[in-house]
Amino acid sequence: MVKKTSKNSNFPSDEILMKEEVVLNTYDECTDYIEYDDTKEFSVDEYCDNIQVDMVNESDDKMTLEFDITRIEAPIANALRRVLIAEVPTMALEKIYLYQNTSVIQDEVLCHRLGLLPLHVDPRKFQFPTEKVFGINEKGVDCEEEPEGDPTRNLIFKINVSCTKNRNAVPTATDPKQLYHNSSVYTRAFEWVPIGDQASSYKKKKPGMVSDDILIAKLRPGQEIEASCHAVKGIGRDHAKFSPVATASYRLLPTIRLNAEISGEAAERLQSVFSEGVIGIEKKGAKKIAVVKNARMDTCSRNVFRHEDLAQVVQLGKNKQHFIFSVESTGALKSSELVVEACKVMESKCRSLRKQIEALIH
Amino acid sequence: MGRKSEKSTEVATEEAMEVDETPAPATETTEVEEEEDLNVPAKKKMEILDPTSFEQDPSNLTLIMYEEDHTIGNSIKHILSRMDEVEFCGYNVPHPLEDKILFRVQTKDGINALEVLAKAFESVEKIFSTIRGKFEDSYATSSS
Repeated sequence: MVKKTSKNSNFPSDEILMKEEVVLNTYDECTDYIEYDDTKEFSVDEYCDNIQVDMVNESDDKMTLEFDITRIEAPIANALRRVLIAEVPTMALEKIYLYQNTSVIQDEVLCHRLGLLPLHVDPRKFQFPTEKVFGINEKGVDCEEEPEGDPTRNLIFKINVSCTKNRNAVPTATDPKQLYHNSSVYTRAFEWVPIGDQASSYKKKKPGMVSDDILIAKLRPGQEIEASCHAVKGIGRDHAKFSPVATASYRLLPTIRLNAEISGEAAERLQSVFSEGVIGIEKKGAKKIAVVKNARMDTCSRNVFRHEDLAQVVQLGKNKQHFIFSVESTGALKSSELVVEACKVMESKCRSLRKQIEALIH
Repeated sequence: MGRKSEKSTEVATEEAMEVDETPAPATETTEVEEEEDLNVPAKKKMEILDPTSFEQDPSNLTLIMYEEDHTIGNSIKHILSRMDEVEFCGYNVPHPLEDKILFRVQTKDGINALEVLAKAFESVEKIFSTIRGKFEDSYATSSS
């Protein structure tokens, strides 16, 4: 039973209103700000004071983080997201010196695959390569010999696997894993080769792959792969393999308003049209009444508008200034460290551009 | 094998080096900068479009920023649009394959647009350092 108790309240200006077919009350036509006092001068300090950051959830391995930033607008939130994806540096295999590859997987495909492997190394301890495209001579030919590598810029991994027959296999065996040795090559086959003083500076935690069991290639007896892989520091803007995040995204906090008391069968129906945990049912005397338990869990499917009686009393919206960030790291750094690094990247970008502008003035 | 596009990552290289936790001595950084300039012959990072007209009227500015995109463009536009000195501002990515943006600023009479733009960059830097500070505080309290 749906009983109307109040008129539609005035919808707040800092929220997007979601109707069945349209989204209303979106951004102002000339700025992305919510309503503001035009007569008052814009103050950065005041703006900064208003910003609020709250942690919501962090996974046990600290690789997934959800947090809220409130009182900012989309351009600022989007800059943070874009920097996380494309401008926070990580290490990745860049040069593969392939000495032997008799496997069925082609040289260039194998090398590309190796490049995409996530490395478990702190990129902050390294410097960017000195050249944009290194190891190529004036004629555009790759270098004839493998370079030694710079301990402050490179990490070297070696891989040398060959597949052989397993003489002790049961005669009836058909599984390649029992029939042959090294029929599958995994990331654990990589061996880190310290250069310069790296052996002493990485005593505690040896650099390696994020995961030990990523399948690289499959081999059959007689086939082998031998390669030396040089990792460099880079950013996602140059190649996606350098991107430190699997996903970095934000969404606005959903709001749900029940402008009437919804009870009985209608309350249960309301609960069922939303995602689990969004709507709760409370007992009020003999009646069961629907209440909004956790609007954050809502997927904004707007499924509720399919029910005519509920559609009249339920108002869906999104808070324009409440950004829910979700950051998933690929493994090199913790998600929380990535967010800090992203802010630092943005700060240094602004600083260096400002210096260049000031140089233009004088 | 590990092919890289021709696209220069020089700007990002230099900037991210500043991010590096260990602060290098001042003399060393200047050396690195000189070294990098040699790698990229005569490549400008920033340029005023039609500098003669800008000299005549410093309130009207179109600035080309190389190796920048929506990240800087939109956030700076966002802050500029709230500043009192600004009459009009906007940015434009002329072509997706060209790594540059055009930034247009029109300030009120007698105000140098470059100075206003520099102020906007300072503001954005401040906003992100605030976010970083608040994030670190909030993370420290939530994990303790």
